[in-house]
Amino acid sequence: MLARRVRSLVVSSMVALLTGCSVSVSSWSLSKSVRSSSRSSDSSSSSSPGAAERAYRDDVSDYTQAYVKSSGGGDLGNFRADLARLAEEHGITNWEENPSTYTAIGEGLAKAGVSSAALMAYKQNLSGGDASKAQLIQQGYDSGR
Amino acid sequence: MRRGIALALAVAGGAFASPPRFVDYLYIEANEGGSSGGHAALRLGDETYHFQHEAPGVLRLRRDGSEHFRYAYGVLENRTMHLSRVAVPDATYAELRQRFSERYLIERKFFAERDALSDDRVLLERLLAHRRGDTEATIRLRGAGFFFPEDGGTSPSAAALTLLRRVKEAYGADAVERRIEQVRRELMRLTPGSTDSPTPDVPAQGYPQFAYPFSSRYRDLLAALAALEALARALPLRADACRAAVVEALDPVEHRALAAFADRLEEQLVRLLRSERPDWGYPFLVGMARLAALRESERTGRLMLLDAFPPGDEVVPWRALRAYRDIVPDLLAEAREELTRARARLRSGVPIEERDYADVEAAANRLLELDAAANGQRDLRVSAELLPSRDAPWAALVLPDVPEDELAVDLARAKTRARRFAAQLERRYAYDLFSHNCVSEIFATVGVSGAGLGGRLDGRKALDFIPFVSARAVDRCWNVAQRTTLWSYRRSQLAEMYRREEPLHVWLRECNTLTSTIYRRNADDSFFLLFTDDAVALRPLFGAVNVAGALGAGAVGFALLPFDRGHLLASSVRGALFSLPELAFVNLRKGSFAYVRRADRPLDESPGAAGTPGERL
Repeated sequence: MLARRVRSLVVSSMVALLTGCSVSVSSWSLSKSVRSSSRSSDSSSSSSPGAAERAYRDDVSDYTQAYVKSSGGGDLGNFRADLARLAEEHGITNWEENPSTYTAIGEGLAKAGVSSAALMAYKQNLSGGDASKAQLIQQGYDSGR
Repeated sequence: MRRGIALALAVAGGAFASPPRFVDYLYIEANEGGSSGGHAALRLGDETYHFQHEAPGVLRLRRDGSEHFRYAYGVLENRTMHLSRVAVPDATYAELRQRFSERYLIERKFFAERDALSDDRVLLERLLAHRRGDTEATIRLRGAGFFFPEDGGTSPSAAALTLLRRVKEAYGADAVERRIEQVRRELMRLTPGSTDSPTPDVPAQGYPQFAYPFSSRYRDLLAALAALEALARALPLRADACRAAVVEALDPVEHRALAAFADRLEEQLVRLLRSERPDWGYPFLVGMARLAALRESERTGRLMLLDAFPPGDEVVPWRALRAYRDIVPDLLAEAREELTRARARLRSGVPIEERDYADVEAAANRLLELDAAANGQRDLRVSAELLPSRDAPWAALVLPDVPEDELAVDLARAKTRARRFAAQLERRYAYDLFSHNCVSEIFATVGVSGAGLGGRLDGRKALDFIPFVSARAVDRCWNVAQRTTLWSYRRSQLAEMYRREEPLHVWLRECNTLTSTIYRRNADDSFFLLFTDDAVALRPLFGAVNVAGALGAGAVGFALLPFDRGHLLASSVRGALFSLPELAFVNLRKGSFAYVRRADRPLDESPGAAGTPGERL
């Protein structure tokens, strides 16, 4: 009995030892003094120009698609609030003034398969009456189909 | 080799209508600590997705920039990665990316809701305290710290006065005062959501829709109030909120670019006041603060910036920085390079956007902070994210027009909701050694996407949940066209040394922590004497030396216990523990690094596509 328990403990310990998934991050602190965001929108990244912009658009597009698919529209106040948090991760506080936001929303709406009528409603509600923003949503929608 | 040729032929033969995209399965070798079993990740171009076991016993999906992931794990953590590459059409790649992205966004929403429910409880406690007469109770208001608490005896800000004038021109002479009253009334009318269910629903699928949390609504309105107050009184920046960049003066092109951005920002702030977004207060506070800094830059011809470090920031204590004083010049050089790169955008002639300015702001903040810490001999603030969010303690809470006993009931409900939701989340995302881990969830997400990578893998079968076993399963079952080893920092440096120097000299010098020129003792590592990751045949012997060395160090550590707070003793115990597997030819520990100069980092192939020129991380 005792031998079996000891064997079980040793095997479990070995298995636990051989799995992982955790990470030791304490040694990274000093490196954070020169590294910025851990995303591909990292400004210190040597990746191609425009990578940060693409990353932001992809995120907004993915978010819009996921949100619309699950809610069928839903509360735009919540949509804006979550969008704000997403934009902040990309270093943007005033997402309403970033043209890419609207293009990406349009792309996400297209991927979510919204109808033309629903698109009109989104354009009207999210653009705040700004024709240029509505046009950007339309352009994104057209390119995403 | 044959698979690489097959890949090339497939591409040439038109198997893909356009150049293929690549999905890379990464097995990351073990190191000591929680990563002793290795790790797994899926790289999709510039993004790497991986699952991490975190407190309190949950498995979280993380998304990192691929370059950062390589640097963090392969260089700092010093772990070799084994890459298995599958070529896929665009549609498959897009579907896979979408699945991982969606899972990431959904999970993030759940944990944000958990935090918001917890914040509901905290806020209600403060409000109840206020209602009962404790007016000292405050909440931290994000963004308000650039203007509040006010520095006494300062004049109104010229930038803020101009902004105020423009707002009055746009909306009316008393627009700001009217809006202040409106916001106050909204705050008083706010109810803590006593109709919300005490048991929040955690949907099984899809992006979750939750009612906008009370604490978020309250903070949004309070931030709006702070923004309007700052505007109405044309408050200047607090003296400690702004800093001057220690760099050469702005050249005329930069000067013009920043002035033009400031003009646009002013217009944007006027428009922001009529935004329908509920949380406009925080971006207004940050925008108004940035506007003041920009106008000061215009006036002085030098770069003036907000202090962008977040509250509660992480610090590297001065005594730790002093231990690395020989690499501070390298850190400063890299920080200067980052700032130069960011400033290039100002000289491009193209109008800059918020993110361009944020890049300059972040890079300059890092350089200033390093410089100040090194010269001023103080703690170094560090942060992965630098978005200005200085908060201020806010005591002038507007109490909802709700009776005290009703507030108390709302508080009790909020506590219950927060506790139950957190428990549901911990169940849903619970880490499980065998069935819910960093391997099983990669395979599960790939499986759900239906992406055609080859055979279907289930990380819950046999020993496939173990990262290094999973890598073999991937090579066996997926259409792997190419296998690559991304050597750890130490191994890549060794390879370079073996090419240049006498191999025996290199081996003798670099096999131990005492004479190695690559490795320097890292306080985070356990105590060990000999490296065993590249010494297979001698591993048990080296392991025995490591065990003996750790035990000896442990004896010394025991004697030093009252003086070093047990640091050496703990390091020695860990050292002995992680040396034991070496006796059985198993290597876990590799040593790690706090920082590696950019010039010394391994040169890898670009993550985006095979055959592209390598880039130094």
